[in-house]
Amino acid sequence: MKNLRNEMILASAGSGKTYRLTNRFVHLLALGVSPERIIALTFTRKAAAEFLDEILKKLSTAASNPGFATELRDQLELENFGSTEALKLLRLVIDRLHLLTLGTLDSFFHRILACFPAEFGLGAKFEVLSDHDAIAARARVFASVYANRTTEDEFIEAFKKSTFGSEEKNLQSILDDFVTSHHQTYLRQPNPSRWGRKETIWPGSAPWLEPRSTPEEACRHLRAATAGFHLDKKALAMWEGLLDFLEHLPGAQKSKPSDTTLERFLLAYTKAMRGGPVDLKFNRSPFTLPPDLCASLADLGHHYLAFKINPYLERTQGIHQILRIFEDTYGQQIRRAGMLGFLDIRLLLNGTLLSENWHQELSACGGEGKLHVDYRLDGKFDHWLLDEFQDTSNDQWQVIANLIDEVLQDSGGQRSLFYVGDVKQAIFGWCGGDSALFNDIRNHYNSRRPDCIATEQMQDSRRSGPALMETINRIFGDTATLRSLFPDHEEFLQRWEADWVPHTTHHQDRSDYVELLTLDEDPESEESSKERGFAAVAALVAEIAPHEQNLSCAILVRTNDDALELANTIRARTDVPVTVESDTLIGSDHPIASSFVSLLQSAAHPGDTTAWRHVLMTPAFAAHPCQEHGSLQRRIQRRVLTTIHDSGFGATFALWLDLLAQGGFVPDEFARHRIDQLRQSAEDFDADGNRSIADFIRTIESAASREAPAEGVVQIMTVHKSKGLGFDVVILPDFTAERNVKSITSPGILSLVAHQSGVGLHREIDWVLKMPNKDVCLADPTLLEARQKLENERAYEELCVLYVALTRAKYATHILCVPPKMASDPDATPKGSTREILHTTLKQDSGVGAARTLGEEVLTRVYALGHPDWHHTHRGTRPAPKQETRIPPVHQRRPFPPIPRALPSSGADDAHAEKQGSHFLFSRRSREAANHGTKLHAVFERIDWLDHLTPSTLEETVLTGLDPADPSQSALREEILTALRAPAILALFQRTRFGPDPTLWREKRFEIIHEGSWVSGTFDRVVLTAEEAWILDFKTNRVSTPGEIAAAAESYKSQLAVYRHALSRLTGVAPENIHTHLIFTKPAVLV
Amino acid sequence: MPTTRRFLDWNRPVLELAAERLLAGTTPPVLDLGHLLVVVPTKNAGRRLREMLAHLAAREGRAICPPQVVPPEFLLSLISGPDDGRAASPEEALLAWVTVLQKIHLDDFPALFPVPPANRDFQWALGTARSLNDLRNTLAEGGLSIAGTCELLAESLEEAARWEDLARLEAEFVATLRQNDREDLLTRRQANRQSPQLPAGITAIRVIACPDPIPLAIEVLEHLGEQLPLEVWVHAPGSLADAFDSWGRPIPEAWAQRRIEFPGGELPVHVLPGPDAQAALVAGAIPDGDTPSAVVSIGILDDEVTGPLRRLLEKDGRPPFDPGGTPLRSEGVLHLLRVLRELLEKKGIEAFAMLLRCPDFDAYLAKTLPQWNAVEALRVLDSSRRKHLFADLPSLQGWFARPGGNTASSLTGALEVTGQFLARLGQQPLTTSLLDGLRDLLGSRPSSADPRPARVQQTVSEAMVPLLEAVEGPIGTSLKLRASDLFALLLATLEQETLYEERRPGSIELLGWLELHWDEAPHLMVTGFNEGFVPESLTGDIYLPEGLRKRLAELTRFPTNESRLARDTYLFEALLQCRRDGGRVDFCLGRHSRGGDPLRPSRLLFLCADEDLPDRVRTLFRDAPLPRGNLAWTPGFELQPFPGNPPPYAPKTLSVTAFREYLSSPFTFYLRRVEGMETVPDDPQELDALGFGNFCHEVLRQFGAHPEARESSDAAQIRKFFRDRVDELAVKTFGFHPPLPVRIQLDGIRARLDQAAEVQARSRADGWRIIKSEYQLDNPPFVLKGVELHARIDRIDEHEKTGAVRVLDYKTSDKAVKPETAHWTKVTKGTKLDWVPEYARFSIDSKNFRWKDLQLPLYRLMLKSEYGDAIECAYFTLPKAVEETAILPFTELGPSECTHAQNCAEGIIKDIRERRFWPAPSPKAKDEFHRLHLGAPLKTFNLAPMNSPRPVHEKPAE
Repeated sequence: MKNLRNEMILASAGSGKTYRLTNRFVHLLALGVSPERIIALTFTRKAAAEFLDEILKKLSTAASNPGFATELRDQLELENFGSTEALKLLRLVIDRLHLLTLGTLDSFFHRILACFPAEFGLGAKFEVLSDHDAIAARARVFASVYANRTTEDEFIEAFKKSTFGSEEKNLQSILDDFVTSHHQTYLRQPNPSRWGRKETIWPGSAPWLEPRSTPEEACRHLRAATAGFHLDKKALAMWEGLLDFLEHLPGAQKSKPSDTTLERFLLAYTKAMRGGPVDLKFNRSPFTLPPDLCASLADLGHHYLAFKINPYLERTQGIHQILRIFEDTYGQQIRRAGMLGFLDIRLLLNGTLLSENWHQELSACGGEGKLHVDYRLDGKFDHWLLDEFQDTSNDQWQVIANLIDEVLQDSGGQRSLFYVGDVKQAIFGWCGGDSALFNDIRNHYNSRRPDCIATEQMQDSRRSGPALMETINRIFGDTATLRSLFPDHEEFLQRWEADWVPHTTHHQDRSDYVELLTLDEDPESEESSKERGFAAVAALVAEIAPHEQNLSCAILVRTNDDALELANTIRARTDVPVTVESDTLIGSDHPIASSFVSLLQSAAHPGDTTAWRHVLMTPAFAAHPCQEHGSLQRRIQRRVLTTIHDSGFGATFALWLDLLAQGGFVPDEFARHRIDQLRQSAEDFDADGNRSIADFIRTIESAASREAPAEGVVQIMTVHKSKGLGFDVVILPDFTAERNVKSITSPGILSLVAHQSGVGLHREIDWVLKMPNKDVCLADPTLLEARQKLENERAYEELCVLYVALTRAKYATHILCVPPKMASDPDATPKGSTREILHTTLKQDSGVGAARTLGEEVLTRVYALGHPDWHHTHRGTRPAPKQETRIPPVHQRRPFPPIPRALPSSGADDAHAEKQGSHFLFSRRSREAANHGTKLHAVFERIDWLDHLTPSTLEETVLTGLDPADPSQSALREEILTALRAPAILALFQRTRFGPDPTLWREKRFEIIHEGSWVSGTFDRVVLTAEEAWILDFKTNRVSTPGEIAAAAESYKSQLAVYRHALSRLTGVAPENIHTHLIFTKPAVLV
Repeated sequence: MPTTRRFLDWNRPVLELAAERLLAGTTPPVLDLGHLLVVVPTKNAGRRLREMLAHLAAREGRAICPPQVVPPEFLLSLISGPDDGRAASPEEALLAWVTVLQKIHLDDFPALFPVPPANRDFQWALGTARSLNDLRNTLAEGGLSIAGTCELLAESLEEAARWEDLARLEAEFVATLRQNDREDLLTRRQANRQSPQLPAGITAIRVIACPDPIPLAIEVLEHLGEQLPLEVWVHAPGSLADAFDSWGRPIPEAWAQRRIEFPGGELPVHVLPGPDAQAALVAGAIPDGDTPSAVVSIGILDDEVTGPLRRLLEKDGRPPFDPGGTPLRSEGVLHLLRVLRELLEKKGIEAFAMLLRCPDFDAYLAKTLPQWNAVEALRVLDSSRRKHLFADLPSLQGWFARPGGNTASSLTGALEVTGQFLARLGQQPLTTSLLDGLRDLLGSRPSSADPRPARVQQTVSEAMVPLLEAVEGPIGTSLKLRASDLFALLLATLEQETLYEERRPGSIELLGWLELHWDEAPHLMVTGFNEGFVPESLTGDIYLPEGLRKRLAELTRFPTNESRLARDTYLFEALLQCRRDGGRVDFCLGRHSRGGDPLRPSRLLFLCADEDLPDRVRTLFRDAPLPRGNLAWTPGFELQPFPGNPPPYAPKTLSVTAFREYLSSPFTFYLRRVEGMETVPDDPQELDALGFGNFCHEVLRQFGAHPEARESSDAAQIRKFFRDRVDELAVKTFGFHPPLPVRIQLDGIRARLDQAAEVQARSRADGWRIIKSEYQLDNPPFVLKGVELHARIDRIDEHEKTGAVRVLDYKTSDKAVKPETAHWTKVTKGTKLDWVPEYARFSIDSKNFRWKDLQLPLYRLMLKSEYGDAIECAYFTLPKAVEETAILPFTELGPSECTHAQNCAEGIIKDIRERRFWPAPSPKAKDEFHRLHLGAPLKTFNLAPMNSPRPVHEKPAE
């Protein structure tokens, strides 16, 4: 095999990334690499499946089409490759289907951990927590924390610190918020010295940490100069009020100046820091602070900043303390007990969660202190293919870093890395994606070994036409315009420019179309802009009628709620079929589900009148007289609790549907669909055997379901979901509030990820601080830098989202939105919203203002490019609907269909029914009785004939092995002896009683079809002669009086009847010649 | 005696062929096969064989004595040695492992336990014991022990240090058994493997269509074959003799390249989107008629198909029958055991609530307590939990057992009985306590007509017997189990058990992969025919990776993925072949799981000629046809207000605060006040807003009522009074050790009251004296439009110099709100007024307002007769930002505003009487009634009964 290059592919949207990946895979196969030695990882299972499908498609086409095989051969630069070789490879891949590692990073990690549980401190098995399990786990941890007396005081102190003593209500929701928002940050950086510590955030100190004068001194200087400012009365009062406030910090809250005054002061402070002079204005009275007074103003600013920042430091420390206490318990009770989230798995594998003493690196071949991954996984991975690499998080990279390092260090050329992605589509930064890794890896390895990783750019779109590509280039290549919208975000723009390559299209001759339509606000309209906009989208969809033209069509929105709302608008206004490709909370969006939840809640908490009255308002009981509601509640509660316990929540849901039906409710088609989904969810819950109503309600209310994909429909989804997909037509509605990407409004904790120089790919959180207000950040260079970094990241990601949305279409993109604020107010400060970007970059002289009517709305066409009638020249690419599958009927019948089975002793036998009862089942005495019976039968089975019975023969033949000294055995001995001493019983054990040559059966099984049932039974003892037969059945019932014996005998009547019938069928002896006997051993009675 | 292979040609199902051939071997007059030991692959195959024999006999009007039909595992009992009670049962083996794991120093086994477990408790020991036991059992199936494996592979063993640790641990395990006078069953079998003991009366053996018996069973058969005639019947044509070994197992090499043709050249494979579609397709193909089970059986390879298929079959009146049974772990009785364990271990209050909801415990209580009332007990439990926020069961018990506690309630009785029951479960010997406890508990409910609960109990009971015997035996005794450990052990055992159901008449069989070969239905529909489900393939075993298995297979008969593939390829072909001349097999496969995860077609479907492979791949890897779907959300049904046709809502009294609720939303007013809806929190752990406010109010009430304290103008003194009262009230409400969240809340209350003390001191120093505290305004009642208004005024002050009177209302909301902001809001252009009644709007100085609250104006009106017209009104706010604590006067409130307020109140009373609760503003997202209105009352409620026409309102003057 020739040496393989390691490659990094930067593939723009639609440029054939999957094509390249699958080519790489086929190339490796063609070079003789076994499929199981290739590992291909991506981010979704769907993408992984498509990857395999594509490989198989490629090989199967090549195998049956020599022309295609030749094409492939040329593309892969292979020497000998044709249909024959393709077929061989196809067979190889199919035969090794089970050995292929084509999946997601997380499933690969799961597989590794499952092979090394003990090595990561877990028990033999672990489970991945679902979302609702994770919530329940968190609640359990908090309950433990609350119950832990040793950490109680520390926790209270930490809580007060974290909230700065200002929170005492809704404690649980605050703590939940801390944990959901910040637990991951804590796990990545647990070191307390990084949380809210001045010395870490401002390592060389900061000006505000070292004021040169006291506030009193600074105020004295400023007051002394005030007369010279010539302020009017009101301005003077404001100025002096400000000084008073600043002088008496922190105790002067009551005389706190307005927020605007303080913002103005901080602005002046930043100027004063630069030496001044500083211009100020109060109540329209301007004045200037000369440079000599600027120092005093700066000192006051230092004190104010300290006053503002210190609480954030303290709160951050408090949050750290809470997270530490939480994590201590969580780690012990949840994680190490084997309940893990996907993040836990990553952090366990990359060593974050284990002590350094214990952590071992993953390795392909084991060795000193390394875990031998290949061995335990039954797979040796020589060739790594990583897809969508821009979405890889640092946590994920750290898991595989060592395994890939071994590949890249291998200079033999027999192992390789191939990673593909597009940093312009890095839209998952919010969940950890670190697109900077992309280049960092290449740079890191190339710095060690030049050309270790080769780079290739792919910018020729195989998806979109020329108008679409030109629009993309106009928007994303116009850095001058972008700069005007992001004047303070040079870092982000530089990064974008560095990654940007003008796009070209493979389909230069294609007719395609892009338009940008705006919907003006209508203050008279009772409908909101969103409602009007969605109605316009519905009209557009009806106009395009993709379902009639065989076109695939997607509408991309930003939130799942918008997707659901838009779907309902389209369904209500048009006949165009739509489906929502996002999760629907099936347990909390529909009256059937919510009333069922109330039914359960009222059963669990009869005092919950909200729940009970809700139940009463449903069709099930709305007509029930109100005077009987009390007794009804008791009845229903019992029935519900019993059904839950005995049969589960699925059956209880069925019960609820019955009750609704009895009240006249007839489900429509949607309700039936939802009923099926809910029933399934309830049955899934039941599988664990959990009968906790609270757990069930939590689970069902968070149960998400995606609408089943359907043929010929418009798909509505979020832009994030659309990544990797292509459609003939794409509609992008944007009618929600304009997103100000440049302002970080509620950032929670600001956490910074810093790249540490010299350590290569190692990333670590430098410090953590709860983000102070913007004005405070502006006044401190460190905080300002941190904030700008976040803003840059956010702006970059927003631009990526827009890029993804605009690169999905093959033929047409329709963008519909309200105009950005700046369109009507040229003086408005740009927010950097996508609407502004579109309007500014696509501004056109021609075509502007052309009206476009969609339904009842008239929109303005702000931009248009290409051929609006493109669909006249193209057939859609959506595959034609496939025929519905049907299974043809079979007319043969099996001669003997399976039938129910019956025991001869079942049915009328009361003794059997009694044996089913818990008093029998869970009684030690009945267990002993059962053992006794078994032993007694075993003894009788040993008896052949007793014609010449003597004490010694009895002892030798029958009672052998029964120790008279053992109390339990001696009782058995006694019972048998007593029975056999009874002449009537003994006679039946004497051969001579039955003529010359009787046949004897002992413990003889039989099978018979009897009255439509299959009966299996065992005769205890049967004696057969030519004309007659005797059936003996031993009974160990504890009966003694004649009445008891008669009653017991009566209960065995049906059993004996079956036995008689069976024996007759077995032997041919007429039933009337078959004698049946019951031997009650305890009273030694024969019946 | 050499074994004989016989080939039953696979042109017919093996079940029929085997039964017929067995029957042909009988000699009249009695159809007696009792001398035969017949080995079949599974228990269900045995069952079907005996049933088929019964049918064949019945065809001739006969019954039959069946052979002893056993699965291969049974053969191991023949080498288990004498029944002397010394061989350790599986349960004893498990306990021995637990003993070893509790005893050893983990540091001595560094390769096996490289990282110490977080909690080295019984649960850990039990889980680890299971996995080690499983490893040993797996090795034993191949005739190996851990030590034997080490020896066999010697130097070539990967991770040798880990295996050495395992072997040392195994030695400890065997030694532990020995110390307790028990022998390791696996060792016994090793010792006896060459001398199996046959059951009495057996004179010949038939091994029928067993393509994959466990290796040790084959060794047993080899030895039995030396003693008596043994025939191996292979379900395949003789022409394939070379493809099977002497035991009828497909030879991997012979089957690896096998190419399988489908009958008629048709590909009976259905590619479908997911489990629901598979279920629908199969259910739709079940023929009409009385006995569809005569035609069809269904194979279930993917469990996700089971649920939807069962539902569809049941809906169509075709009861399904799954001979594989259902897991016992999903039964309610296990939930009861889990709850008891939780109570024994953690004494959690939620577990106690769950216990009360268990019907068995409910019945037990009903039997024990004459006045037992579950509804009342749960109500009292919830309300006292909400009020007192008990941390655990002992706190709850302590509260109800305190002197003066309510001894009459059902809950008190339940607490007592529960305490006694739990104490009883902890008594030695634990096994007796457990048995007695379960007998009493499970025996309390009257038996039901449904046989299922009884079957569940029987399964539990049968699984318990060997476990309890093991616990009572020497190993169990030496473990010194606690009651909660015993429950853990019991649960771990029961969770592995299966509940078998009885076949109902006409049932459609739902069969697993290995059962299908022994089914003879002409039409077999196999669902879930996906890779991962078939062929069986094991990967990622923590001790036995495939590489190691292969090495073991080279040296022993250990099964590998290759041998399983050969077996499954053979079974696949056999299914097709035996229906070639009269029947059909349909294979359904899903492209996605229910959760949307992609699935692949089974490799078995590609065992075609190479030239057909590209087409086959394209066909089976194609996208599944999707349904055409377009279902818009519809509500299904509307909720009916005023259910049960109650008399009209005509309150004789109204509290002053009710008006705020109506003004906030008539709809919410209706739900809360008319329907009386009150939500109970599930698991309260902290004071809610109401509880928090009530606590503060109570302290302030006591202050206002205290003749000396209230006269003080010394902030420190007042602060001390407040603090003392907070402490007293806290102990009274929450006991001496309040739960942690409450401690934090109490600190918050203290901080607010500290600041309130300052404000109060200043107020007193300014001359304001408290003259009334918590003043109940109902004598004489204030009547408005025939309705008595009720109010309890927080406090009334009088100025000692001016004689001025002011009404104060304490506000403990987080933010300080001025009275005017709370009472009215200015109407601007954008204000949505569509739902606001005319009477709720008023104008002052040509500015338009609407009422939000009428509290203080109504107080003023109500107090007019007592204190005249010049009463001042104010809020005493105690907000979270304590520096904002203040007395905020309502200076804007004058006589004309009060008149407007009165008009508004009268309008509300009229509307309430006329059941007018709609229109109303859109409910807030996720308010406490969200479950009812789902954010869209217009769609979820029948609003007509609460929407009686109201005179058209004019738009307010601009």
